[in-house]
Amino acid sequence: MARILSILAAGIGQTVAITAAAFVLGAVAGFPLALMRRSPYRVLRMPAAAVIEILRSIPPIVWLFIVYYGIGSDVVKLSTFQGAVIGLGLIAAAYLAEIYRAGIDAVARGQWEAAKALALPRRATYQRVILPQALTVVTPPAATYAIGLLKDSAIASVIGATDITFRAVQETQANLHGLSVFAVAGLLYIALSVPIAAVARYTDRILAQKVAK
Amino acid sequence: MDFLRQWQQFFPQFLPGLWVTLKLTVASLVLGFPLGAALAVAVSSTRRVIRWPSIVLVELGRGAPGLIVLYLVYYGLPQVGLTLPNFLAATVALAITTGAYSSEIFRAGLLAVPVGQREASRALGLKPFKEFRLVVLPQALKFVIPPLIGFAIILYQGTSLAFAISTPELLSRAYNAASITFQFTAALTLAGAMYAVISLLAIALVRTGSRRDERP
Amino acid sequence: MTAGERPADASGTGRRAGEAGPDRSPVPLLRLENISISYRGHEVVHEVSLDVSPGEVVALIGPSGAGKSSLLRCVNFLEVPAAGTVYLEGRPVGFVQRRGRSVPANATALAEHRREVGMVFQNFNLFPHLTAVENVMLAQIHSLGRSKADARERALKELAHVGLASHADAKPAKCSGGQQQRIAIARALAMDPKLMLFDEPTSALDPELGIEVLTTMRRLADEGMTMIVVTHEMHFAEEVADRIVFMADGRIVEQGPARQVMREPVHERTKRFLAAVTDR
Repeated sequence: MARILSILAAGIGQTVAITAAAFVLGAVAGFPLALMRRSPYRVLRMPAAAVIEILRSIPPIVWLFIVYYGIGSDVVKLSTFQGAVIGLGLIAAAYLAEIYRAGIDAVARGQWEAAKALALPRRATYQRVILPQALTVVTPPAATYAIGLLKDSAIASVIGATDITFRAVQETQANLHGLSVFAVAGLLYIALSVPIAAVARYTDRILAQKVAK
Repeated sequence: MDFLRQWQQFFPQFLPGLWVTLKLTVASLVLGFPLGAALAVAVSSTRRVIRWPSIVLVELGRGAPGLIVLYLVYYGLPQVGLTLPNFLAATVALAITTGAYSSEIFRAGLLAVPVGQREASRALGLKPFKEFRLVVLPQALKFVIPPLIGFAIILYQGTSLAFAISTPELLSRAYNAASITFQFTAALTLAGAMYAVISLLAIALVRTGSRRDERP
Repeated sequence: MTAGERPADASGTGRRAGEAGPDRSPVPLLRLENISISYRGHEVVHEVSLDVSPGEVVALIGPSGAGKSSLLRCVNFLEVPAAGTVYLEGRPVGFVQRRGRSVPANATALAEHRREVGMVFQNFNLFPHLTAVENVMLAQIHSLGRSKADARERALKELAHVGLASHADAKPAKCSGGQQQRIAIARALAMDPKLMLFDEPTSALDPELGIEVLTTMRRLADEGMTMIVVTHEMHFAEEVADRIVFMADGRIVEQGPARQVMREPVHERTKRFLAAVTDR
């Protein structure tokens, strides 16, 4: 048991790095996508909607393959880490864009109207009024998505990223005790998701206090 | 239009893979949804021998990556002398995942039926089983069907994990074709499009269906 | 207990001597004896006793949080009393004797009791997946064991009785609140209850829709149905009820003939309440 854990632990760094990098990529790229999605202009709204739908309707593992094997062999050579981060990051952008959009929509109509009545410019309305409130709404679903991303990151092992799952498969093929190895791996992923949930609860509380004040 | 010609070439080769993907989806759902319904009831059982194993199954099934569950079944069960062929292993693993996730959907559906409905049934002298069958269940089903269809679409995509244990489904076909012809981008995007088209069609179907339901 | 309080005693309804009322049979239809109800460790009803005679209409009034609804719901054991006994026609209900001890009745025994007591809820609680007539048929078939044809015939009769024959095949969502509540009344009546409980039946309704429900209830009272009504409709209580029971803080503060409690309340708490809710 301890031996298995030490073998799998060697993959924690890679798992966490892929998850974190893909989340950051998605969080950044998802933002303009969300704004486009809410734009009053059709030319911005429609492409954003199409990109989001397509990203979400193709399985993550297929995206990873398209990025790593497709772009990676036809355009520019990518490492397994880069392939995994870009592939998962793209999907994260689509999901987080929808979470942002829901967050912005959730801020009461009255807030928009109040800002309009005060003749607040659009940019200031977003920056000073809407986003601070949307952030509280967005944190819990974004954290839930981050946990989902952590679990999805396991597929990076299929293109050869040396994460927890990769180590587990290797160990299983060397010795025949897959049940114990993958049970430990499963628990390890669950254990890693606990801090994300805790961080989410913490930030949620801090932000809620900030907004309430 | 080189790309389109390549797609045209690949398409017939991929159809058997799509067939396996669809069979895998249906088999996992047929096993997984009843499992989920049973787990939804079992996790709130008053008997510990029923409650604890089902809680563990639900939490592991939802908390661990789908790929890990798949490997656990495929590489893990041989440790206890049970070796499953890849299609069966994939079905069992995806059914467990389905059961774990759908149990939460079923549970939420049961909880969504207002307390007043149970009270009214009781006030009319209906016994618990009839109360469940005639009043609670029909209403809960209405709540759970849309999210269950949503989950089915996610599972359809999730069957691509079976690639990792060499099940000859859509992604495996695409990957094999790509590694023979070295046309990775063309082969993989076609597979992606085949996943997307069916997912989007299903979503569109659900939307029109639910809109029709809402109409007075 | 202050002088004005008039707790019901075991022998009757706590009316003062010389007051007229409906004929009293030796055994009350319903007897609540020292009922206490706790909710999450908080006592909402404290040792209340109340008798209801056959054919009597009792209005339970009082400020919110007085324990009126809890007391009413305890009659058919939707609320299980922490202490005290409920008697229907002299038989204790809700508990059975097992090895010389009184233990809570199981669901089957409670179902037997509830068949004899009709209940109408504030939020109607119609079954949304069934049509009006199916709502009225369901428990007749599955609780009383009537045949489908009999249940349907009876259901249509009850719907006609509440003026909704034309809505038999409508789903509840298609009916107005007042119509829904009348369907709920029909649903309860089809069970041939010995007693009807109404838990704020018009509180969720607009005033003009409440009137059609109150009219239906008044007719029911005129036909001799035994009723306990928790209500904020003071006019209805005065006009239709034989007796008004005023509750506050989990206790019966005052009770008596409807007109008398409304016009000449004895207790200070009653006076304050009535002054607040009526223009008198």
